[in-house]
Amino acid sequence: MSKSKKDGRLSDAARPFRIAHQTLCITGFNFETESMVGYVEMQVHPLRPDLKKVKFNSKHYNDPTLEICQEDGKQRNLDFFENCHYSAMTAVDSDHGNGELAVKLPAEALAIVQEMKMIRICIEFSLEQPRGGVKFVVPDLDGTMLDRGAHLFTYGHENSSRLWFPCVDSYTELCTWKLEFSVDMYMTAVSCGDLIETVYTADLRKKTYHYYLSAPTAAPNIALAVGPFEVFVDPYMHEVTHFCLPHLLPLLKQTTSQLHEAFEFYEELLSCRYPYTCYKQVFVDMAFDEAMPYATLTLFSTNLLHTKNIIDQIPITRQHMANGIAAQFFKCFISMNSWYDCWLPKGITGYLGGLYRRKAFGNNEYRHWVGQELEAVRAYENEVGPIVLDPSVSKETPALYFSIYHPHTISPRYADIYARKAALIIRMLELRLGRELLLQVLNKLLAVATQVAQQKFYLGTWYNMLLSTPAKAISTVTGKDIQPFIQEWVQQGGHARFFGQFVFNRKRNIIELELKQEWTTKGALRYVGPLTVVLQELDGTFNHTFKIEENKTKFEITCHSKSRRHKKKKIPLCTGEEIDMDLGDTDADSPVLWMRIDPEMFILRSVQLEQPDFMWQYLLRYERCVVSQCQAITALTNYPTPKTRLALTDTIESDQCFYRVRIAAAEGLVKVANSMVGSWAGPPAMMTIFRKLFGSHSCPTIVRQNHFNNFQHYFLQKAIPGLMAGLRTVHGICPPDVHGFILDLFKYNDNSKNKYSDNYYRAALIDAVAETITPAVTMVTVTGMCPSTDSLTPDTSLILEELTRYLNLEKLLPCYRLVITVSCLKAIRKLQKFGHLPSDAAIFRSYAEQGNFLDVRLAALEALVDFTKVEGSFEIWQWLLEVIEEDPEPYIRHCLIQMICKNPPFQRKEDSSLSTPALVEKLWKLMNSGFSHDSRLRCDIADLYFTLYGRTRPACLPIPESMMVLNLKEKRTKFNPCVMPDDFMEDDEDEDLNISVGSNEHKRRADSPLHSDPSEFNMRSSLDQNMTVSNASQDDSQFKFKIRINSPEMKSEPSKTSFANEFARFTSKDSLVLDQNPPASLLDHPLDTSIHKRQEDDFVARLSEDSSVGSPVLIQEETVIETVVESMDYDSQMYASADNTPQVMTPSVHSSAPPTPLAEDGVHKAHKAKKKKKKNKHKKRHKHDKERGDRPRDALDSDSLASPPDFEVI
Amino acid sequence: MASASEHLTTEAVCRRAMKVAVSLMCTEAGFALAEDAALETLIEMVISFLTELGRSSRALSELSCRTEVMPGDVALALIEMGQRIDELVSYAKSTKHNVFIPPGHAPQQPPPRILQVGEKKGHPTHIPDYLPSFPDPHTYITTSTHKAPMTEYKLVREKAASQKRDVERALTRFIAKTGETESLFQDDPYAFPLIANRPKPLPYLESLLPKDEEGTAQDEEARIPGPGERTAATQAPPPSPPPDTPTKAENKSLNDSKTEANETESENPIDNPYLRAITMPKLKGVNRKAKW
Repeated sequence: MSKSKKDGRLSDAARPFRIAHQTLCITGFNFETESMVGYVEMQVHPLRPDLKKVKFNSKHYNDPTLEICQEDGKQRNLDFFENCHYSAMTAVDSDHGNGELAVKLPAEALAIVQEMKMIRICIEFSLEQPRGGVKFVVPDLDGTMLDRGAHLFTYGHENSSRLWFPCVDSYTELCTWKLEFSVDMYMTAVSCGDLIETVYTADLRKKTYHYYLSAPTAAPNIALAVGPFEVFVDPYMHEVTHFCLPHLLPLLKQTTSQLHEAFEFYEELLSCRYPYTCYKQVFVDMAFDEAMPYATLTLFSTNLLHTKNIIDQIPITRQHMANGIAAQFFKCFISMNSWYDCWLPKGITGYLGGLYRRKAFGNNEYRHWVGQELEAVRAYENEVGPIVLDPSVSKETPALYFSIYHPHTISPRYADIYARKAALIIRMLELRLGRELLLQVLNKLLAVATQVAQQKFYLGTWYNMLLSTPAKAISTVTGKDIQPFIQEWVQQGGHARFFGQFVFNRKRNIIELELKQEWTTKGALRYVGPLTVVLQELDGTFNHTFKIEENKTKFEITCHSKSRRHKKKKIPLCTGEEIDMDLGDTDADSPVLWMRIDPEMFILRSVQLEQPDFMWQYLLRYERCVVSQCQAITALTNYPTPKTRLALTDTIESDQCFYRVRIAAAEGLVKVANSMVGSWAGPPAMMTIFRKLFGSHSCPTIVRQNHFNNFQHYFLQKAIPGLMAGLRTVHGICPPDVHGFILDLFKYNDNSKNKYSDNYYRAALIDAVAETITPAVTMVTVTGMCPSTDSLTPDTSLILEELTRYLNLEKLLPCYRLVITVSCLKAIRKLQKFGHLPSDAAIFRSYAEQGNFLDVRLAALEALVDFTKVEGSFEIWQWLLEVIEEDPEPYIRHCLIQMICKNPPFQRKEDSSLSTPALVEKLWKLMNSGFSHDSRLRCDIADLYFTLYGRTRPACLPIPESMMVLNLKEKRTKFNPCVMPDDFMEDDEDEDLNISVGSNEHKRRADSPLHSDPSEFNMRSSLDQNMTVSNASQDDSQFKFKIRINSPEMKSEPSKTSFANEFARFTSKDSLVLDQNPPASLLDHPLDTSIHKRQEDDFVARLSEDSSVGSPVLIQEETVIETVVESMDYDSQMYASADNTPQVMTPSVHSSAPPTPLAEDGVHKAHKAKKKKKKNKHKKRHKHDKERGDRPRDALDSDSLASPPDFEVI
Repeated sequence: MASASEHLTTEAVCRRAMKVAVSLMCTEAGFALAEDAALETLIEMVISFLTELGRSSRALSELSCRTEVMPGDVALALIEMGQRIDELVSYAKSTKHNVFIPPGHAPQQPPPRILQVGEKKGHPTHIPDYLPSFPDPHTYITTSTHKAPMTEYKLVREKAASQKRDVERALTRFIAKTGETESLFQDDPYAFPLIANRPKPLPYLESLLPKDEEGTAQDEEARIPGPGERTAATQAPPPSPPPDTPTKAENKSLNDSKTEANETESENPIDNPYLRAITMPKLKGVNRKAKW
């Protein structure tokens, strides 16, 4: 790791300017060509008088991720990739003052900068068939776009707004926003902020949505969705609006009916009003993730919608929606200061989501969830390595194959666990501070931010809306110092691992507890601090807190109660209840009933405690904490005795128990039953229970008609058959009783009187029947012979009968989310795997194709992944790789790669026919350059590469050659500037007009794919008063630019200049055009504040004169500027005091005809030659280029009117 | 009329008695069967004989200045009529005569009873007893005539389950046989035919709007409007209408959604920017004047 990675929090000096306000206007959406055209305008406040260059982010422009490791294709190891990857990401990270798009300020503007006044930069851009950032969902149907439900939405991993519009793509750069989107009449454009009005465009064919976001917001929190959405205003809160695709309105109403409760809950909890004035939920197809929160807007997957009669989906959807609201407070409104603070918004959002879970679904559910999250974090840390939430100051970097110092380089799985761990850490903070105090801190943060947000722009004020380590806030509010906590849990990764055992010393009436920590394994941590041990004795529950120190492992706990079991007495529990227990099983001497270590999950830990089985049984029966109960069940599986069986059976039957504990007990019972299969007496485990609970009264062997009114019973009924199917006889097969039992459940299933759908139940039955399948006894000895219909056992053909019936029925009467198809596919794969069916991928192929429902596709792909692993089929493997490369749905690709990682076709160092140099080449290429548009996918591929090949040279590559290359390159990498990008960025004086992007630039010249690719890139840069120089590179998608720099004095509004042609058609000459100014500037920059009465025609005319003059552009421009500035002064005198309220007005109609696709003029040729011809002269050359290019858009372009003729800058 | 009928009946009675006597004589004479006409002729002959006998007897008694007929008169009359009377006494005394015993009266038929089925229902207390009683229950109670249904729960469930399964199986088999299929076995593609999977352009619609809820009729209001119903409502205004038309059309569709949204509180109109009408562009007045 280089030093630059660890310099932690970045000073503002890294970016020598601030943006006060940004306008984003997208006018031409074209669903046919999947393109859009628009411009952004940024009001840039220089922070240094010597600012010469402004850098923005725009992914489609000179993107280093187009080729991360350059130079040679032979150094193939992840460490090298990781280095390059991190450097590449930093090279364009605007928090480091970098950016893909550098705009060199012209001399005229420098004068303005000198006075530290605001300049305005306008960039026009267009996107065609973007591969990332914007998803055009255009179903392949006949009819209009409305009938087809075509829509688009923006997406991205973390800060990825640069994928669709030029901006400062950082969470730290807050500004106010004006967003305008012109869409067709039947479309709705939903974006961030308040919808001020919807206006017809001047030609009345479209309408323009005007949004204004007054709260300072960072560019990554801006999103957009356009489509023929159905609008549903929340009946409880009118400021909340929901959108869904056509035909889904009833579902939308049903799904969002409880949303207001979440709002009320959060507002009450944080005693703070929701920070924005509105909230929008849009349910889109092919979503990037289940839920993607942005400022005032959350995009959800349309698959979260559900009908009234679905049980299983409701909690999931509600939780997603509640998390979306929580993210409004602590991701969008208050955003993070740097990547190292990312754990705060993620953690607080997750924590608040947890609190909602507790409120909506109960405390047990919440605790169980906490327990599960803890387990997930523990498992990941154990497997992969510790997760450091804030790695800025960590002493040693964890040995991972990806860099954790940048959001775009971490593994998606890591990111997932990271967020979950962050939520746990915030919960730990709650336990340490107390809930009230923590909420006060959060409230304080929100209050400060709300206050600041209302202030006008002044350099640095909005800084308070960024979330940095809350130590200070916490110490001011609570007076507690949490620095040690931060050091231990946030700046250090891992969790504590305890191993405990104890004995009772009868003489001294004490418990001697031996508690060991283990910190040598992966992801473990040496914990020092307090630890709670809870002892349940005959006289009650007693808490003991120890100080865990370095080398101390033995602890003594004095028992409070004497052993007095002759008295019949009720035993008090920690909840205050007193209950009768049968103490017959206990140790007669000891008063201890059971022990729990850290029951409140006060620290991140895993505990393995040894205590006798009867203690576990008592714990399971009488303890009220669901997490401890689940632990007891796990422990009890090691004690397969009749007593254990009884305890588990009682738990399953007990209605007092939390249903998840009952299901866990059922799981435990299956394990116990399988362990004691020899001595098991009576019917198979749980058969009696199931019949008692769900059998009909007169005939218990027949299951009752479905009534899912009791959800606990529903979940139990759903779970038990599947678990029973896990029972095995001594021969390792499923007992015939159980088999018949499950088939009877199929047969007698009757949902006619139920008000809920039973699709999940039926799917669970299919899963159960699949679970009964055991490997086939192969009678066929001839190798290569497939199982045929003759070799089917009667049981299997019964199963097959059910499967085919259900699968076929699903075609005619599809159920919600096609869960039955999903289960059937899994079952068929299992039958194939166990040799009952011939292994055949064709059926899964057909379900994995596009045009199937998401869940079905994922299930089929999972089967194919398994198929590839078992059969080693090259063809399917290729096909899967194709899906990874080309599928239109990013979520599918992401899931598929993760599935392959989980179930790889071959292991590291393993010889496999699939492991070929071509595969290495392909993965490397995808990782290195193919997925530049989606960092999640790129990191997914890195995961896959790591899973398949590890960090070293892939085994399939020839050894000697690559070794040599490796050595050679190793030397050369030291000189590789890609590890020192920052230095490189500094000396751009030498580069003069060329924008340098990233450090890799000079290498790209050599053999970068940019040149060899048939580039479609088009870039146009218009020089308005000033000139712009840019350097183009290319993605698959086309991205076009036009950059204009104005000082506000020049008051040339983009709408007027860039669309002047259009504009002139519809605006009268003496119309009053209002300029929209950032509110804050009123105070500091009187020059900016004016509302100009615009002398547009003069201005335009003058400019066109200028342009017609031709070559001595610079001189002409200067004069223009002068004149304009003069008139500006005049204007400002007139208007400066006239109006100092922030004007939120839509000054004009920015109308434009649908974008005409730009002709592709052989840019790439010019591109190659870029460096040689620079300086001022190149302008002329470009003019020629442009004329050659003969673009049809010229007619529309205002540039010919308003500015010197635009030209291709290469 | 009455005397006439009496007379007639007397005559009829005599005639009937005569018929019996004649028949008897015929029987005695050895006939087993006599035609009605022959019998009637005989009866007429007997009657005229007896009438003549009576008249002669009377005339003889009156001749002897008496009013009462004596047996001697009768005997004389018979003799005068040329009959032999010596055999008459022995004939009368012979016991061999068959006697036709007139059929006794059949017992009085009781008036035919009204068929009563089941117990008649008594009057409810508020209806006086003197009112006619209820008719028989069967006249107003319907009873089904089919076989007694199975009532045993187990059998019912069993039967319902197998019926359902048979229907489903038949249906799916039919569809599978008539359409494209996928098969699980290479050797026997018809063993377990699976209906071929077809990609759909909008897969989420099918799977989010399930059709399998047979028993969940309670959710009537959650019924999904068909695609046809909707497209009409949200049909976009024509692409280039005169300036006023889009406003109206759009307002209309907005109103539609508004009414939907207002289901819960119609009196309190919702103020939401998405429900507001689209405004015309600024400066349009000037523009329109210029244009039109």
